[in-house]
Amino acid sequence: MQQKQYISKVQAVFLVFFSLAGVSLYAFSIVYSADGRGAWVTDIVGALMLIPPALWLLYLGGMYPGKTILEIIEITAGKIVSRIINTVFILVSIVLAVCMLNFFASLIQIYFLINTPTWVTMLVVTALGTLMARSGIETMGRLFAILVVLIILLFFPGQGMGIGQFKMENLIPVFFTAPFRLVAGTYEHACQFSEALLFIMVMTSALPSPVKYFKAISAGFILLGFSYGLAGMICIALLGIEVFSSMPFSAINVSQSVQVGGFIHGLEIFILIPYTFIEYSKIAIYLYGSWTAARQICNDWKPQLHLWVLSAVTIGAAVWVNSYNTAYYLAVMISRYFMLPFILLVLSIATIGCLVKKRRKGRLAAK
Amino acid sequence: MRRAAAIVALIFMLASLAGCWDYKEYEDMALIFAIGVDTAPRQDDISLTVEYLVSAGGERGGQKRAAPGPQGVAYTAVSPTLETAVDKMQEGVARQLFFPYTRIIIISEEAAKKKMGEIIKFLYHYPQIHDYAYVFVTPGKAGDVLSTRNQYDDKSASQAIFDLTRELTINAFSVRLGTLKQTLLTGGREAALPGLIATAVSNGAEAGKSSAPVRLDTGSIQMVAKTDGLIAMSGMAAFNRDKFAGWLNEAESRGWGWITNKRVKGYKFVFQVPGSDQKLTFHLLGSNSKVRTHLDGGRITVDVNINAKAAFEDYIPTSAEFAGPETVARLEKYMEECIRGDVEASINKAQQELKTDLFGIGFTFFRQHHRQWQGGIDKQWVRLFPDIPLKVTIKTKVINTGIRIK
Repeated sequence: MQQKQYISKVQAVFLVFFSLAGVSLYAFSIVYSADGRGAWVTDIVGALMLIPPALWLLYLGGMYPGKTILEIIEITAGKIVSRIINTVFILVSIVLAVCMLNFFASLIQIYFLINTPTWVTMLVVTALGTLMARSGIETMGRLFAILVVLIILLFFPGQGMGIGQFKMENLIPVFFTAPFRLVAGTYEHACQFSEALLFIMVMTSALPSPVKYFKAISAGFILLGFSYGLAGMICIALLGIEVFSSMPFSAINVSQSVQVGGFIHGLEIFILIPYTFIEYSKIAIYLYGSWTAARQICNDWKPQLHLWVLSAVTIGAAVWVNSYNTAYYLAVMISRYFMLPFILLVLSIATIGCLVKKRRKGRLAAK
Repeated sequence: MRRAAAIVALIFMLASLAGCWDYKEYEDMALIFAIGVDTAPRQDDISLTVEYLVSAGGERGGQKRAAPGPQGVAYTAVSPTLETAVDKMQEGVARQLFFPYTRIIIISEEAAKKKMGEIIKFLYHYPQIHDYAYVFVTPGKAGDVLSTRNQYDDKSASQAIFDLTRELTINAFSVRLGTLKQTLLTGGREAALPGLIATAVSNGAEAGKSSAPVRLDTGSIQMVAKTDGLIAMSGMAAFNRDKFAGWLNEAESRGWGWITNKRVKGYKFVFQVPGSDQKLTFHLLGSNSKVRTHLDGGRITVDVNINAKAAFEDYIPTSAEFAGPETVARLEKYMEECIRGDVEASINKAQQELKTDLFGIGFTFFRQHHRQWQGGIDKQWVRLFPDIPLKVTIKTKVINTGIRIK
């Protein structure tokens, strides 16, 4: 049995930051293409929209401190419901991890290491992600705090150096798409960001008093939302929405096109490093989440074995898919049609279960 | 904290492991600086010429290698597509073709007429070619431009062209690949690319009119010999979507630059005073332009406002008078007429002859009246543009008369 780990509020901010930056990092183009120039605003609104359900999760976690939402469901709704939900949770996490591995491996192969087989990249990322997940949520929190600083130090200079190449004509007018498309785009952004809620479901057990983390969790959403919005705005200003929305790895293209004077150009390495950090962190998050759910299903029987099996399944599935296009389609489909509805279903079951349990307790106390 | 730090260190170490498959010595790479695209004798084929700089000499494996060649090496490959041409070329070049350093892309007029869509597709999809490369069109053959060298200068053709883009000019304006992509993907504006002319020293004829000698020919791959000559930027090639529409001469190109707010600076231009043999020279110090579109009762009108600043660096013939406000006002009027001539020539060419919106008036209209644009004008723009009146207002300011005031 692993020692119980708790995270601080600062670590919670960065854990939320990394849990938000997932498939949306690569599958954004479908939303940007529909939203047009205003997409960076819908990016921010989409992230902020998820604060209420996140706080709802914390509130539920506060009713059973030290428990994950999945454990709360087991307590309140029974083992069968819990096992079904845990199984779906594991599957969703593995699918998202498979998508992320394929995205990243393709990015590396297309732009940087043309001859390196994609499975090598996937293996390296999964191995390190497993190691990070194995070291526990507290270590992940500490690590992410370091990585966020490095990402901000690298990502924004990498893009911001192109400020001389900004074209305001690419940004203004901001809103010219039909309002219903903007609303649909905001919802789609929220769907892509909703994977953060999956992680918050398991993160609640590491919060000593979840309701006291309202501000920290909200800050994570705000930080990521505005970072995404700013990055999107810079990319649109540099490339134009038409070019930007037609590429899955357009942040790399943006940094490639940046030129400062006659000497500094081709700054893609500044962007590759943040992408790499996010990739490792995301795989760790997916594995940690699915591992927590698997341990619960098996009543903590041989927990280390679960992690290695999950890692093997993830890398096996990622190598089997081995297509960035399939991963893109899968990521868009799962986030658009499945992830947010599933999370809302889990929330509803947990809420109803807690209410019923509370009412029963009240009746028993009255008797 | 120690564990977190250890994982950070591990990330860096593991990240470098995956690079073994792509390990390549710098000296074994052909750092391509320029590519040229031409049509091929067979209609279905396309010709790709690359010029690379030999990266280093020195020793390797105990053997001395050739010293770097400052004038570059050029190869041409012919294949059905540009992607397969790259592969074909690799069969004949004993170094790994490495494109991320590509700074110059030259497209021949004929290729621009017949294969522009295919070329754009290649430039758009090929991840190694970066958006900061400059794109040119040449009336002759792109391969011939890249085979031209200045016999008195130790520069390759691509380096010479790259240096030309950095020098200030008013008769042609450099355009980056990223800008070209944006222009082609956006409605309401069409592309214009600078022209490149290569002339051979021997007979003064345009290099494009006679093929450069071939040093080595293995059928579909040719190693191109360098010929002495001169490369110059001149005029702009106009496009209608991905089709070559025609050329703008120097005055029309200047007009295009004035309207599209290009950096028109550092140019000494001459105005012939009407009815006299007097020529006035102005040194331009800066300019800017603003385009406003209006929609009055379904009729689109456009205001083009140009501001230019210059120094008058010439002999004032009426030397009896000091260059006071009246003289300066007269000079400003002359300068205004000179700019107006360029601008009107450019507008006439774009609207009447080429019928292509090189100035991005449609794009400006979209930005200023996006509802109306999306309400149907976008689909009619190609038909509407030639008949839209452009009202040009030019404000000039002569800020000094150089070292003389009389």
